[in-house]
Amino acid sequence: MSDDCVPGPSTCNNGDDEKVGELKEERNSETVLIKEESNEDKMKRMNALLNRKRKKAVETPSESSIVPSIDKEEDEGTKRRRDEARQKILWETERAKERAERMGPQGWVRPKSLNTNKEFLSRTIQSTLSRMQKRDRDDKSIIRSVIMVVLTKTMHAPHSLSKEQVGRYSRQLLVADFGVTGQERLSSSSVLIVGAGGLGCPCATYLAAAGVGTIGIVDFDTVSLDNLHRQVGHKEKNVGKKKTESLRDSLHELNSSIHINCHSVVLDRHSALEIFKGYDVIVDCSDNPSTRYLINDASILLNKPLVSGSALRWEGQLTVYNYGERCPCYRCVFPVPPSPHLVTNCAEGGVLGPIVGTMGSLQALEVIKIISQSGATYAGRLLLFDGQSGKMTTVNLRERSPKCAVCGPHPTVTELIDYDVFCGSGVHDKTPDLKVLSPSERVGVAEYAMLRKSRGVCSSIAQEIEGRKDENEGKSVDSSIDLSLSQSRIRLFDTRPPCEFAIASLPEATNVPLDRLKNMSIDELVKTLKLPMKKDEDKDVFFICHRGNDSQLAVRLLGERLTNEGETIHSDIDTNQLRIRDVVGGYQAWADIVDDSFPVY
Amino acid sequence: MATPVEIRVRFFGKARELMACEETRATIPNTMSYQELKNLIFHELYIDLESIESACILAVDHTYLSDHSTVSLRPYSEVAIIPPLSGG
Repeated sequence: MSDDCVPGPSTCNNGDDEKVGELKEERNSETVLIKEESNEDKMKRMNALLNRKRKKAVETPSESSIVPSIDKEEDEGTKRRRDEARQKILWETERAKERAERMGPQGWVRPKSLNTNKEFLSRTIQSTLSRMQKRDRDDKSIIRSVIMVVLTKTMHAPHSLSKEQVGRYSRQLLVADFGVTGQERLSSSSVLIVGAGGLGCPCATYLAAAGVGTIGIVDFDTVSLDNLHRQVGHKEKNVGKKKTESLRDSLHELNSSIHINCHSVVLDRHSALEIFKGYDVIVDCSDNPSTRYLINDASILLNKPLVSGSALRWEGQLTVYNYGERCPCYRCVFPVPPSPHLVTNCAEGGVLGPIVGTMGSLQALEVIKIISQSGATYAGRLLLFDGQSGKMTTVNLRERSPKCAVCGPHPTVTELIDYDVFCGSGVHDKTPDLKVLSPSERVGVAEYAMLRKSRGVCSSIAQEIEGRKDENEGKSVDSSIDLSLSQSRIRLFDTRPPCEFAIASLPEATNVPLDRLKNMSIDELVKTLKLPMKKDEDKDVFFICHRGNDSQLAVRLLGERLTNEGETIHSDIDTNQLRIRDVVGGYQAWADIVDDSFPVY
Repeated sequence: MATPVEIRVRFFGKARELMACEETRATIPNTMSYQELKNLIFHELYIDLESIESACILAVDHTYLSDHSTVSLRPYSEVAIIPPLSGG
């Protein structure tokens, strides 16, 4: 990327001196060029004239030097038109000067396709001459035209931005150290955003708004309602639509002048390199370890800078990898992937919109700095953002690891591998289904529904209250109705954290979070779980959770604790008689199979 | 000669979830090897974090600790336990 870009602007502040210097240099160069180009007498004559007029124009841009002289034989109408044209040119010249002064030295940096001022002016003169010679044989007229074009181009900052672009991006053109050069670089760059979710939406939005020339979006997923609180690039009307297309439409509404490529595929070892190679900078807005390692390795193999962001709950992390010789990659810092069962994803742990919004915006900022060659603040540094306490901590990371499997001097990863195998988990942001218990230790939701019905447990608090109303024959019902009656009919313990229990639960369920369960003494366990002591008591104990993972762990935990410690303390608990089971698939399955009015999340 | 020093220990991501707290204090020797600090943290002080040991990075006073470094701690030095976040 850096090879074909224009060298950065000078930090010199004496813009006027610099401009004058440049102009003088240009004038000389243009002279030399024309001499080289033509040995004919006509060109020599023209050259001499050009020099004289050009010198006057630069040193004293007076009327006579920049506006063609009026021929005596011209009539009044022509004169008037000439006067008007002269006024217009003068006005434009003044405006151009003002604009150039406001832009400072950066306004005068050459467009990307032209390396120097000399080259720019030479080409302008050449092209003007060739056009003029074809249709106008008059020397004076040719020279006049050349002067006009050269002056106009020199007075207006000769960059590649159109008038429309200057207008649209004016507020960022005014930013020192970004300016016209930064905009030109941005407009001619291409950025790939992997993941059109919580991070991808704000990142892509700011990059599109800023005028990144080409944006690629990779995502295989479709928009769902529970995305919208944080994935602000998608709209309600797009629920069910591909995320790539939904985000593309949103970005095009914001800026129709940029190119957007949709890659609606699962990014894997077979597709990654082909997609990545068309882009200058890669942005990791993905949501799982497997994709993160894949993105890292592909970026290293193609030597692209990688801007990586991640978030969960109240926290965010940001790092730029592979930006410069010594900058580490993701594997240098995290060579070992986390165990799949210890990875909490957004579907499980939740995340707040402004957290991903902050991190995605910071990613966009790093991309802009990389493309405009302002340096990447977080190259080799890890930003830890804690939105709850408002703390931002930056950790200086290591340099590139000599032992790194992909970017080290002796890499073992020289092509993309199977990242699902490497991480022990897939690319889908779904909670894995644990299989800890035997079928006899589990109960399906349909069976549980029948069981509780047979014991007279109502399916909802509303029904419970309704039932009590009938019993009381129209007497007023206490709103804080005691559900202990229903609770006593069946023992159901809900192992979810209190914040999830508060969303929705079955009326007979008692909340005993798994974390609390783990730390209880055996006495507390027996007491809290109201384990049956009497022979005639019901021996069933059920555990339920969100999706049926923690409930299995709770069954296993309780079984072990009771076997190891319970009987020695409470001789009247017969573990062989107890029947401890979990509800397969938890509340999600309950909603899917038994009660579709149950709120899912 | 190592002397005991009180430090701040900050937990991030999964470590915060497992410890159910954001920050704590500990008194540990002021000089030790990286491996000694790692053992102390994951196998003695915070057993709950044992399961994420291999995926965590440790930082002392905002600087990453590499495998063979020697750790020097001052009073109230900040030791950060940082597992990667994956969500987005």
